Amino acid sequence: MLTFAALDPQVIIDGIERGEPGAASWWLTRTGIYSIGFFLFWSVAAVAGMLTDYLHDSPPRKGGRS
Amino acid sequence: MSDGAAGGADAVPLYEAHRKVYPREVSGRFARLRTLAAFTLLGIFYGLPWVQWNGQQAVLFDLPARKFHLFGLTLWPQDFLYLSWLLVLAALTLFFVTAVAGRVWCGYACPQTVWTEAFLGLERLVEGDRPQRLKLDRKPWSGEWVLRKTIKQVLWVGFAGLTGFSFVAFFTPATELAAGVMNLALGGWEVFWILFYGFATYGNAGFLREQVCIYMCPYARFQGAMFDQDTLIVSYNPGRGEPRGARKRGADARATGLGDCVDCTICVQVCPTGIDIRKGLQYECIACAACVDACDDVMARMDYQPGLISYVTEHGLAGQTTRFSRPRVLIYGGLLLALGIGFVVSLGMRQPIGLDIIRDRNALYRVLPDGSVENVYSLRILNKDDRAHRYVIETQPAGVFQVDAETVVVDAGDVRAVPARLHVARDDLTRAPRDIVIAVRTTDDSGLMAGRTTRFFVPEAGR
Repeated sequence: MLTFAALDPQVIIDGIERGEPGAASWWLTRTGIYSIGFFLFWSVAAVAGMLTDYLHDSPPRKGGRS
Repeated sequence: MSDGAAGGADAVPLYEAHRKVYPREVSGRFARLRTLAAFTLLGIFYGLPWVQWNGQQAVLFDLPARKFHLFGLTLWPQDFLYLSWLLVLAALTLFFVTAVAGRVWCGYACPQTVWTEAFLGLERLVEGDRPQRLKLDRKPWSGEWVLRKTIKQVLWVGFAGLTGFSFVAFFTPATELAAGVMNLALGGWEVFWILFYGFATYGNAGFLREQVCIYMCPYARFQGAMFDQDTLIVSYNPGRGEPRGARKRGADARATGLGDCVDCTICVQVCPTGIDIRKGLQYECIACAACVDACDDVMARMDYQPGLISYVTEHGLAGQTTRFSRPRVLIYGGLLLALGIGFVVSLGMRQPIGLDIIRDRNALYRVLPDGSVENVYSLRILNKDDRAHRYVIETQPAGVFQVDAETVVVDAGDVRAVPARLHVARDDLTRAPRDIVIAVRTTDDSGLMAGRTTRFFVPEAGR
């Protein structure tokens, strides 16, 4: 929310349209960028969670002390 | 994980095998309260997008237009503070309620609980109560199995689809969305979000259910930090119930040497998270009080006093008095009250106009040929109103300063940067104050105004 309160996705779309008019595909709308942003943050959280689990649960070394 | 040689004795599998929970239907005062809460909350969720307010949707988070409508109030991205404030208030309310009454949120109001209840209700409708469902799942595939499961899935999918639609209707005007569905002319992202949210509802309420509370919910993990011995929890009274055991109806419990618990295990059968409350408070318990209702029912049939399982505090269970006012409750309550009042006052005083002033960085001042002194500012005018306004720029005190700036029109929800030059004639230099207020005012009848204090520099010799 904070990200998109500060950044208007229309800026990105306008940027693409300026380079090549008509280049923005159907999914490249404000709603589209909000959606992509949402899943981006979600994936960051998911990766963080998986990493925590991986590091927390590191298997003991073979043959040695854990 | 199965590497036993290196893992040692304490190696446990990462995931516990899931045992399906078949909650038994329960009736009683807390069950009625839960049903009432579920109907109210679902009613709000499915009904609110259709409520109109001043000719537009009452609650609409219009993301494409970057404005949120809340009952006649319009919030722009610049009002982000209010939304975060609202979230802080919601969190504090949750903490306060948890400190006083335990996990009532989990038991009655959490969307996970409410939708699970709804999906479970549909399941009951088609497959029957716990014994029938257990029997159905144990039997090999049959015509009846396929028929009942198919009907259930159709109901579930339909309900989930409605939920997804209703969710998107908070972001896209409901009437437009409904028309889009009817004509099969929806935007790609709307279709995606309806399907995604519907799928999430179906998965969470149909299949994951109590596992969301047990494994996924962060609140379930830290709510214990808000508990103390004066917090209401659902608790079994072991002093009264033990030793538990079956007995004939009407048998004198004292004579048999047994406690009041008849060990009928109905409290376990009704539990939506599949725990045994008689083992004490567990983090899986969402305090829905289904076991309270179930046990009271059994106690009544045995002609025993109700309340073997009840909402009680640890102090209450130990026969001590429960104190309501204690530091954590007072602090949470005080914070909540202060922030709540602040929120209402600030929202009430909110003016749909914003002004920032930036001084010209290149020169403090400029002396013009006629001896007058000029300072240059850059004004950013923000119009948070629902319509365009024309703004005029003026100074306080007026008279000494000549303002050289155009009146500007700023569209609804727009920001415009306007350069403003302020002059002071040579003869007036001694009268010119250092600190001045530059203000913008609407020229129409709206009477909106905003001012900011800034400085006006003059050469030392001029004073």
